[in-house]
Amino acid sequence: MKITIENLSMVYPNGKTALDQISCVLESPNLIGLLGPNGAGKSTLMKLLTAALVPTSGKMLVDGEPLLKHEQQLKQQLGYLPQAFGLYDELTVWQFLDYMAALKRINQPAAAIEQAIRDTNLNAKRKSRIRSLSGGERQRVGIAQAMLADPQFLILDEPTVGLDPKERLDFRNLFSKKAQDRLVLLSTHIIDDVQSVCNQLIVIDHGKILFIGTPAQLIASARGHVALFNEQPASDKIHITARINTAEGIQCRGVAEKMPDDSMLVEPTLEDAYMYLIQYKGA
Amino acid sequence: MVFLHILFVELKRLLISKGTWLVMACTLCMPLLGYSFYTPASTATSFSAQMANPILAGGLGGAFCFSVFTLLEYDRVNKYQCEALMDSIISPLIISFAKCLSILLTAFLTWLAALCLYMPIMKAALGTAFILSETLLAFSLMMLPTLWMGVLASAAFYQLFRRIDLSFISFTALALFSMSKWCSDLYLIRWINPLVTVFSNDFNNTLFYRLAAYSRLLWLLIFSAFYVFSLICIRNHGLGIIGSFRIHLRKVYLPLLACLLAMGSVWLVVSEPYIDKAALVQEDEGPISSGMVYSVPADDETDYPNIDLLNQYVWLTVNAQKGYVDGNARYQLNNKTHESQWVTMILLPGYTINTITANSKAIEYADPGLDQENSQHPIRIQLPADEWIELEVNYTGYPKVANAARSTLIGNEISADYLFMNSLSILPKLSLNEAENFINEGEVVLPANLELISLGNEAAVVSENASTKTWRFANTSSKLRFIAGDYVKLAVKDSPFPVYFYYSRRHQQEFEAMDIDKVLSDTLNYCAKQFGLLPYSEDYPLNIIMISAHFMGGGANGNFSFMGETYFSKENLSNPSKGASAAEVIAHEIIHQWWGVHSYLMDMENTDWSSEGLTVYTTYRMMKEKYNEAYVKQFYIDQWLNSLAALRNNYFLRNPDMQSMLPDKYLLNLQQLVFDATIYNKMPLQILKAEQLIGEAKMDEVLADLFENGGTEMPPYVTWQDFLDACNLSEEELTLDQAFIESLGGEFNV
Repeated sequence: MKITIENLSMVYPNGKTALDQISCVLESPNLIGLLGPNGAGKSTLMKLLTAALVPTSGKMLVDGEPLLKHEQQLKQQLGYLPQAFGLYDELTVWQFLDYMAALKRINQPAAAIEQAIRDTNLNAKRKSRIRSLSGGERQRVGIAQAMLADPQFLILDEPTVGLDPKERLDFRNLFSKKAQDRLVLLSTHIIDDVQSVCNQLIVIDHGKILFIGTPAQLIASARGHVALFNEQPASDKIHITARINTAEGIQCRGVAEKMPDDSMLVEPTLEDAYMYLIQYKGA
Repeated sequence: MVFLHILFVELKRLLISKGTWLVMACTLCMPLLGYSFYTPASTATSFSAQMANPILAGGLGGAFCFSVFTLLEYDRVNKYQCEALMDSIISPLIISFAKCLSILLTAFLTWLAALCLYMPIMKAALGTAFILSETLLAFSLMMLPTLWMGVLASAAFYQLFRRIDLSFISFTALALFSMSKWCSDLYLIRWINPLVTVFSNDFNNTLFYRLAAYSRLLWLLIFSAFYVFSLICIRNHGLGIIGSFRIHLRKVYLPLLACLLAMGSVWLVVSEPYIDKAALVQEDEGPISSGMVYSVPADDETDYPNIDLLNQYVWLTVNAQKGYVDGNARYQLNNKTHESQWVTMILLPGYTINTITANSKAIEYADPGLDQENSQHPIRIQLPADEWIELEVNYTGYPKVANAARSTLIGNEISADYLFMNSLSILPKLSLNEAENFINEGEVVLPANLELISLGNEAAVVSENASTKTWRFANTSSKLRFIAGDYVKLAVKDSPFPVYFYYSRRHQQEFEAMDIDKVLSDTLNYCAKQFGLLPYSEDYPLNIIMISAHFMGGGANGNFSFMGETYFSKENLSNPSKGASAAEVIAHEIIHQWWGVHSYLMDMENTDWSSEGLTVYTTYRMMKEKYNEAYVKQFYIDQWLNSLAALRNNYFLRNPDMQSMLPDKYLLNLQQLVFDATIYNKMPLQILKAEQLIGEAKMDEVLADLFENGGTEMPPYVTWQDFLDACNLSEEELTLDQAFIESLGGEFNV
């Protein structure tokens, strides 16, 4: 699957520009991390890709065909986990997945549901009513429905919210595995999630794409702009990204467009690189 | 296939929800309201009380239940915030449509359950009168479409407003409008409560089924159009109503379908076939004389004194299944003017002329297309100057109900096993003088199961085949009337004059058990001896005919005396005010041939004076002669006294100030109580007092004289004063005073 986005803009009726002339190509197999601060336009992009919104201008092509004209075909290949979503509370987990499988017209729903339940570790809850589930369990049901029958295009908007660290790890691995032969778009605030599994990153801020490339390329772009300080640097041009308590006192980690000459430059992490990008390349 | 799969999924989801079962259970309880609280159809017949009302209540209540259910189901996506999830899988239009269809299917299953639950109850209540096909038809037309309309309307409102409260208010307003006084007599507008005045036990109810089917079809089209329109308004792609509307308009089939459905409903309204839509006209606006709506049009007013109608002959084919007639009428005319003349021919609204010829040549006619309030549709035809003219008219149509009768639907009826047709529905009428020796005759082809009873000479079968019979009929006046049905024809033996009693076959067992022949014969002989013979002969017998309850009462026309089936209903036959037994009530109804049909009792000042009082008294006298004094004391005099005592003891009648606190329904009941007590009980007591004052023999003389000669105060009516004068008594003497009441063994309390 290849999704081509050209000069895509989205202006909401209240005048807010959520996306501004963005262009990119999303191609399978890939696990693409979509990063950006709150309000950057990530969810809007995802909604546009699921045809939940109509763009103000620009093109979205799915395998060369306009997305909105082939909305139904796209939806048949799509698994989507929205950022905020609800479930039919009075149904059991199995009934809900069975319902979604039927809506997705999955041929062998029982097997697909079994697989999704196994993948999301919901076996013990399969007969539980959704209203009785915890927040993390509901999130897992959401992921399970998105993964039903292995869709070719998986869009996951903040999938690990509410999950405990072990579950987060398990799901990262699962996403990584799924992305071996399909397109997975993962939107998250959690840099660890993308660092460990994404082979491509798209960073958006204020509706514009700041970066498209591999995590290594993003890290490389920040080399020479990340340093450690043994005390709070005096310059206000340095953006502190972390404070670490050590035996010698507080050590600061910061990014800057130009580091003072006496700075102790260090190898940037993905988080440093992201912060550097947002801070100094963003709007 | 894909859609069917989604539909199946939605239905499955609905059926595993407890809410669905709750709504189904509530709907199943709704018909219970029809047994007591909601009784739109007159409960005079058991079919109305045990079948029509429960089914109508089930439809009305069920529509509300399913409206709420539909709104909740449509709001679930919002309530559970599943919109983003659902929209990413399937088009909201498809899911909405699947949801709607699945709720419609749920409504169907609920209806099926109601049918299975209530049919045995109805069968038990109606006994041998129960008819499976009638019940199925009533359920199918009166309940199921109402549930469906409730679903469609609510779904459409929700898709427009996306709010439960607004949608339910809109639905309720629409339902209340249908139930309001503005729509009470407009069957086409009444979508949630179809117009049913009374269901017949003894004949069919095709009239109501036809009307219900037409109005349900219309409203299903309207609501479907509304629903499809609302589909176009479904919010999608994060857009508002206008943006979504604009996007969905690109799916051309949707607006096209909505338009087609809307146009279909407009066409149904415009071509509505059952009710004449004539507006009221002033008398001087047309050449047609005014007349009672239900009566045969006046015969004695003509516009062309120099053209005589010598005779008329009609060949009529009745399509009883569809209610249509095809006719060929020939009129022999003598045009004494020797000039071409434009004359008026009156058709029944609903009928159209196919051809008109005079002496085998086509002639001109003008149809102004104006129906008149008294259910007449005049056209003008140009007669040639020939002295002798044979006018031939071919016509066809469905007899429409007069506009003025649209609330009662009383009029002509043509159905598979019942026929009630008046002159105009048989052939068009020429407003011309009838010549001496005028003959009005013809042949009518009817389904073989129908026994024709025709006004005038007795109709006879002239030919028949497996499916039809051709009947020949004749009358010496231009008036015609056909009644046909599945009748038992009883020629009353030992009658003082020829009498045929036609009654529904459904009463055969009951009537034979009560020896109806003897009841009729005894009554006829008693009245003939007491008051005199009625003017019937071998050639012109009296036909007493049981007719459908749809007619609401009875009437007389020539040698026809037709009595609504409610006269023979269980309730009426066990009415102690009219007689001690069913046989005595039937005797009471037959006595009306003397008091009511052949003599008219009315008084402008004393409304208690009517044929009922004298008929009850006559029944009492007849039973006194047949049995003994003790019998009539127990079953007549005591009944009258008890009824008056109950009236006097009534709290609201003793405290008139409190009556203003009564709801209209109870006030009407109170009025009916007073009416019945005075008409059926007080008046017979007054006549009894008169009898005691002047003696039985003198009373017999008085009554025979009044019957023979009529009244003098307001001829031909016999007034209360006429009665007092004939008895040589004053009103004061007939006051029901303490002495009189106590002499009869009653308790007098003012």
